[in-house]
Amino acid sequence: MRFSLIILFLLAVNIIKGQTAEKIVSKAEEILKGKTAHGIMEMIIKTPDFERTLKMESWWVGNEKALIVIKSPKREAGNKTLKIKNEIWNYLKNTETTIKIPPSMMLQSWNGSDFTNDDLVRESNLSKDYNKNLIGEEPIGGKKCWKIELVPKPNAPVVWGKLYYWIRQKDYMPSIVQYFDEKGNLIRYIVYSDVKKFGSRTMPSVWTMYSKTKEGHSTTVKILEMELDINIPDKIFSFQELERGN
Amino acid sequence: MKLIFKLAWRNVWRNKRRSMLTLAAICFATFASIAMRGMQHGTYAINIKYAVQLFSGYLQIQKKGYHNNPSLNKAFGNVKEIEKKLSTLRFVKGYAPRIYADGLISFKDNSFGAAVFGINPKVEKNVITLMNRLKDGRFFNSDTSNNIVIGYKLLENLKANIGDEVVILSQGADGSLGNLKFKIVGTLKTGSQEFDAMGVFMGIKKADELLAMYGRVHAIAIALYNLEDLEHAKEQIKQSLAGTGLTVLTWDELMPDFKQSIEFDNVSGILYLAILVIIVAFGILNTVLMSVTERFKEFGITLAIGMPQIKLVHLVLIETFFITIIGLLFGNIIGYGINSYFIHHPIEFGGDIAMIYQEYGFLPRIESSLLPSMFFNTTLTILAASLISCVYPLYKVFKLEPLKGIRYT
Repeated sequence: MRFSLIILFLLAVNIIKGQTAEKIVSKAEEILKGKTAHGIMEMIIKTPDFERTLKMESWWVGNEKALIVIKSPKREAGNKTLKIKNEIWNYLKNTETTIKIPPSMMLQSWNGSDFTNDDLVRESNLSKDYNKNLIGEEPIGGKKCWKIELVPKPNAPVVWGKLYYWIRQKDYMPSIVQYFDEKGNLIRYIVYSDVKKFGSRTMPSVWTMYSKTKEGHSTTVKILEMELDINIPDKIFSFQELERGN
Repeated sequence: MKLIFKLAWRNVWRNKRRSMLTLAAICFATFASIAMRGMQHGTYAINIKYAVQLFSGYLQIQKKGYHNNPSLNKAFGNVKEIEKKLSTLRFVKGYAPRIYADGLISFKDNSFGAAVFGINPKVEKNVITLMNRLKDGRFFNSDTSNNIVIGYKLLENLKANIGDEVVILSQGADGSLGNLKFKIVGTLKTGSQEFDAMGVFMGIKKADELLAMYGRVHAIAIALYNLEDLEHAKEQIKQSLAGTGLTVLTWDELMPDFKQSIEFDNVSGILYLAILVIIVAFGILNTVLMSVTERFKEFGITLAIGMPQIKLVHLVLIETFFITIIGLLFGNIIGYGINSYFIHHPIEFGGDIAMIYQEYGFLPRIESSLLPSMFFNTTLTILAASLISCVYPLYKVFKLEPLKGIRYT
């Protein structure tokens, strides 16, 4: 009797632990996303051969819909990326063509950056596709963080073998995410930094993705303006709007 | 010594018919192999010229490592400086900068992979003959217009017509998605799958814009006046590129498949010749052995009256040598005649054979050549074969004992 109680107790602890990991991650993700978001950001893509800076405006509605419009440089101004559920279209202003990104190209780089098309589409289906475990506490930059291991659920349509996610204990700010392949090699990692206030919300304003497979490649997203949880009209995410060129 | 030569010369003509037959065999082997090698060499030469002048150029300057593993960013600038250096070399006929890339060409609902070539037709005129391979339409003549020429099969696949507007997409050197509209003004038919089914030729300035190259190029193709200057030119250009991280590749490095098919053909030719030479060698062996055994009695007597054994061996050797030399001389003269004839009257194939040849990227014609090295090598080979083939008879002569020789019947 006592023995089974202990087992129950242990199970309960585990469940609570699991829940807390789950909670921590969803809180961190909530900080980054909000229900809806509209922002202006800069993307700095660095490779050994070149460095280029894009300025873009984007609208997000949860995980469902997103639109990214490139504002500069001139060469790419007016190019747009539209995402609806898990499909992506690229609209190219020069030639007024719309290209649907086929599933086979989901893992290719978005616009030469270190983010993939897939990142834009299923970004942070973390809550749905992964089992989470709190595996430790480590300081990152002098701030205490939880270290959470995310392992894909069986049959989850994800490409990573596992993720490590460090989240600040003080305010649930995401800090670092490491992405591993199935063999356990570190492929890339993203660092969130420069926490700033945008209106009533506080969030990391600089996100840098470093590639471990391509030496010297990194992509930094700097958020210049951001409004979260605002009302975004649905017609923004339509083809008429996409191909209206502006 | 003089006596031996006299003796040998007379011995040769003691049995006229046999000597003439051997001579004829050597002569035939000589001119047959000269004619065959000549046709091979001549045909290779025109084919190399043809293939090289179609697009690759005799030489190309590229960034080190580009050829084995091409990537958009293995490009180089300072084109003007390099061109200045090239213009001072007297064996250089012309040079042209180029941009190479992969892209996607689409017309209405059809999209196909394309090999994009950014060229400047004004300077390419001195380097390649591609512009003369138009099937329909015309070639663009400025490198800034948005006119393109594509492979005829690609046009068919796109279900487009000349004059239609197409969109070409390609990831630029900076990772951005280059996309521009172009107008098809002509099609090419080259016999090369790569150009006919994938080739898209556009002005180099437009390619630069499409791919965000900012003045950098992937290659400078170079044409020479003479194929013979190739190695020399390579060395000179290499020296002038020292320390720039650039390298210069010859046509055979640029087109290894083509080079290999030529080498394969060459080796098979050499095998045929080897068989021919072996047959002739046995003929010579036969003649010499016969003439030696026939004269054992006579040799026995000469030995008995004090002729040194080694002199006898020399005698027989010189006899063989005479026959071979005369045969080679006639063979070379006839061979020269045959080759000259084919140089002036090349054989042209038609019909199906021509089609097969063209499919492999070869010209459907046979020419010849008068390379001195070819005559030289053939002569040496046959001379060596004939000398080797008389080793056994000579050995028999050397081992001959006077009394055995006298009693030999």
